[in-house]
Amino acid sequence: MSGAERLLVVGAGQAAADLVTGLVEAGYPGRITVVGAEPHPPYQRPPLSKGYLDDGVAEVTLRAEHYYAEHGVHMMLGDPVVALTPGRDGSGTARCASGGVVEYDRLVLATGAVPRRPAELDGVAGVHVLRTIEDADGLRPELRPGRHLVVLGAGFVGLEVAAAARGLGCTVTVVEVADRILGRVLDPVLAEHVAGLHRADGITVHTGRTVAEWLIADGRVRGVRLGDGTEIGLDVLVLGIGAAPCTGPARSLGLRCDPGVLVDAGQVASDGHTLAIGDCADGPDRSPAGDPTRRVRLESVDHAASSARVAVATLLGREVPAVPPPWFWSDQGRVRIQVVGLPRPGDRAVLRRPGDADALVVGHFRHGQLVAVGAVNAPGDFMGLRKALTHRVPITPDELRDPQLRPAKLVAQRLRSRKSNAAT
Amino acid sequence: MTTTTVHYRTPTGEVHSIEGTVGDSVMVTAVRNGVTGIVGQCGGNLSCATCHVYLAEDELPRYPEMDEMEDEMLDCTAADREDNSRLSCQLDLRAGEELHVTIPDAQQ
Repeated sequence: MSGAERLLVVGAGQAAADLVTGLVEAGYPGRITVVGAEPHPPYQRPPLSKGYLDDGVAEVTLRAEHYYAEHGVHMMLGDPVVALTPGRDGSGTARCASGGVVEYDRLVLATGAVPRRPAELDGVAGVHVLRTIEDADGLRPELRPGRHLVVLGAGFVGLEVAAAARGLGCTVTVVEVADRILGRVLDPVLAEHVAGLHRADGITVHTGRTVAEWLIADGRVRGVRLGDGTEIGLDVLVLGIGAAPCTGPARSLGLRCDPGVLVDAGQVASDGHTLAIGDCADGPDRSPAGDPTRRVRLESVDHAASSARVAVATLLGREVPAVPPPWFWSDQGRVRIQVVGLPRPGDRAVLRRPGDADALVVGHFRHGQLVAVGAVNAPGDFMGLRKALTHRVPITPDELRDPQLRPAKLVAQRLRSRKSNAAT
Repeated sequence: MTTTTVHYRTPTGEVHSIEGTVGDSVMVTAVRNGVTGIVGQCGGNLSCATCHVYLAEDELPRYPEMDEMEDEMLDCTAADREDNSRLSCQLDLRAGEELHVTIPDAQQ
């Protein structure tokens, strides 16, 4: 290779922005081109299903556009990559929809994920998913007082939209196929607590129900018939049934995907050269007491940031940095959920009731060790326990349970005594 | 659009002076301009405590007392909390008032 390395980043979301910033900060000597399908510079997605639905004015752009220009980063936005042709040793050529061609020496895939959407709803009006600014702009005018919104899927995004719509005066029904809400992320007791808070706010939550039929008239969705025969009329349907990783470009290069792009501890894919970061990548389980031979796909701001930080090190030939425990948050009206670590079935769940009736914390213990925490409306307790996990400060089940003990204080004490022990 | 200047002092003593928009937060102004060391992972929702700064002592009284949530978050910052610690997502830029903040050596 002669001259500076030409790095191509496919995708222009949070992970791409964090990667570019990390490379700029580290003094990466190569030339960076970012190609994105969306017309916007990288922006934050989390506000789209929360505050942005209320007022539409929440500023979501990450770096100002001049930032990329000032650092010599070439941004090609609104111009999806349509073909990748591999060359030698991870190099290749990308062709964009506009006909533009980018040659690269090294490739990073940050292609994200797309919301799942049943094919029979293609072209039907009144059906929404939520991932992009355009999705949010399309949904917002539909959320008028008195209208009936049905949300299919009680995950983070679905419940965030449900709470925002309820706050705007809509009648809201949530339908979830599993026997409880938030099954992928929360302990059952915590999930039931969240369901109770939403019900108290007037949201109807049905669990264990499938949709048997979409009721469509004049090209617009008018209702759903559930598996048990119940018909629910509606004005607006939001699908919150998860997202599938965008692996088309990776598959075209012959990279192993299952379902996301499989990467190693350095975010390197199966060809040994190409990197993948963010929502499209399935990486080793780096959670506390996690099994690094197990691949997990995490869709979160935190994972975008962590995987980008690892990729920066890999691209610079540096040692891969330690990654803090994965964490997630979701603001659903007055319900604030925070999770750190990856709870597993079989973990021992220990409850903590911080005093406030709306607050509840669950600690997950594996072989006696705290490995994950879920918290509802208890950000102070959560932050303390998250710090314990980050710094491997032991917390016992009895300490976690005791509402008189403040985790932040306990952790600070133990870190101090660890420091003074190390000093002597 | 009214602007004002925020002076960000890095842990190594460099100062980045950024022209920010009045009404934006000190955190957003840093993120948008790529100021290293202010992460703001949660976007200003008081969920992450990664936008910790030390605000110049004489500028502290310009802002109302922090609420309980910010107070609890500051107990969990990566760098040590000081009397002038604030979360920069809670500090808004105001017309005619320049700000001076020091970035701690760690956010997570």
